[in-house]
Amino acid sequence: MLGLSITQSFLWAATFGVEAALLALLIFRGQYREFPFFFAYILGVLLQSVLLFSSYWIWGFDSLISGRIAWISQGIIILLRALVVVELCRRLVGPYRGIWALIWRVLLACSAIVLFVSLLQAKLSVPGIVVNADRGLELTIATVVVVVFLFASFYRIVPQAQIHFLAAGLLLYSCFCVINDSFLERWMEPFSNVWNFMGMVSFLASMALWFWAFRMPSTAEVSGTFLLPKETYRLLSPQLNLQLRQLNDRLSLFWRIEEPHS
Amino acid sequence: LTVTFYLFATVVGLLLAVFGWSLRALAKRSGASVSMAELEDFPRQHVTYFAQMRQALRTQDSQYLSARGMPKLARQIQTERRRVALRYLAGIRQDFQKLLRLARVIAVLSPEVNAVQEYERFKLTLQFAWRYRLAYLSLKLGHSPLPLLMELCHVVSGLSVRVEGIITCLGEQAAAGFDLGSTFERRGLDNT
Repeated sequence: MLGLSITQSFLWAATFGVEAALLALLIFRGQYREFPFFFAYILGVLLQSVLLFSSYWIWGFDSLISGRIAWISQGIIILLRALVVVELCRRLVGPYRGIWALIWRVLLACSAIVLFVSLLQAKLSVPGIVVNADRGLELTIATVVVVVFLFASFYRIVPQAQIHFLAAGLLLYSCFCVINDSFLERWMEPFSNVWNFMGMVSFLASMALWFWAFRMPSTAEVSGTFLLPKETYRLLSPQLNLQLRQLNDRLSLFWRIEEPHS
Repeated sequence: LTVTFYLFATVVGLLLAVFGWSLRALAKRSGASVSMAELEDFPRQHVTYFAQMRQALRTQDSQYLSARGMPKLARQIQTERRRVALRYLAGIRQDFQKLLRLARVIAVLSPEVNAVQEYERFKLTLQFAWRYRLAYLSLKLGHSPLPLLMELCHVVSGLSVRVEGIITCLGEQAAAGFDLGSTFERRGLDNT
């Protein structure tokens, strides 16, 4: 009817069902207040599904207009995904003002570098640019998620379970998109059906992860975090670093110095 | 397959591996939260054995035994002392990690941090991990830099005095109205 195979139709229906269930879960649990961008993203993908279904119904799966609608709506969805990543970072390290000021700058620099490098690979044909832009953005999202978790690990900030799953879902789907886009770039036409199929499977897997995460009751967020006076850091941090450096310097000589003869 | 594909596949593989590692590291810590009381104990645990270590690291005993015609016993004693040195080295690592933990807690709870200080600490962490491995291997392979161990003992004992000052400073601030322990619990911050 829509030019889709039975498997694709089944996957589409399953994804739509999970999206609707997740949206309902976010509303009933009141978690749309805690994760407004994530809520907007899920609402966006649900609306995109409806829009695409309608366009395929009217113009067919392989029509040019359906393709354009699909790519434009995908652009909006990717932007919403980027906002979800910002929300994830803010929820994870945002309450710690000092390190957040440092981390967001590092993340911004990482994003700019990754995006620039991946866009350098772009081919100058129209689908090539779209595929490369998609891959660049997804790679940027994946990098930001990983770097923010590295920071969390370094500063020993233990995230809520929902943040874990949210990050895992975003990362899995983004990584899959990068691989998929790289295949698509090479075999644009023959691979397009498999690309659609694999994209749907990976997205369904991410949705299932998120549904699982938001089933759990969320830990109440405390407004305002205890912070030390500015002077404490200014006074103590150089001292602590000096002591760490001293320990380090001694250790570096550990295997060099010979025992003196007494 | 193109070079570009392999390049992106490698980057994706690396990202997934690093994410998995950070999740594993965080999962280990989530079950091991301790109170501020552990930080207050800071380096006493290993520094308290400083006098015994200094005695154990002296070479006169084995020289005396060798001179007395007991080289086997001298070797046995050296092996034992190397084992003790290894354990002490591990203790120093623990002290380093505790110091690092304290520095991280202060950074996380500060309204402003200095990027240079943070970068330096990150670099020191990597350097220490690398040097510790080398020192450990060096001891395992039979090299006995005993005077250096003594020097390390001095450094760590010096740290204990200064860190006590830091803990006192934090304690005063906590007494002034801040509740550090409950902050960690509420925010999910692991101070282990």
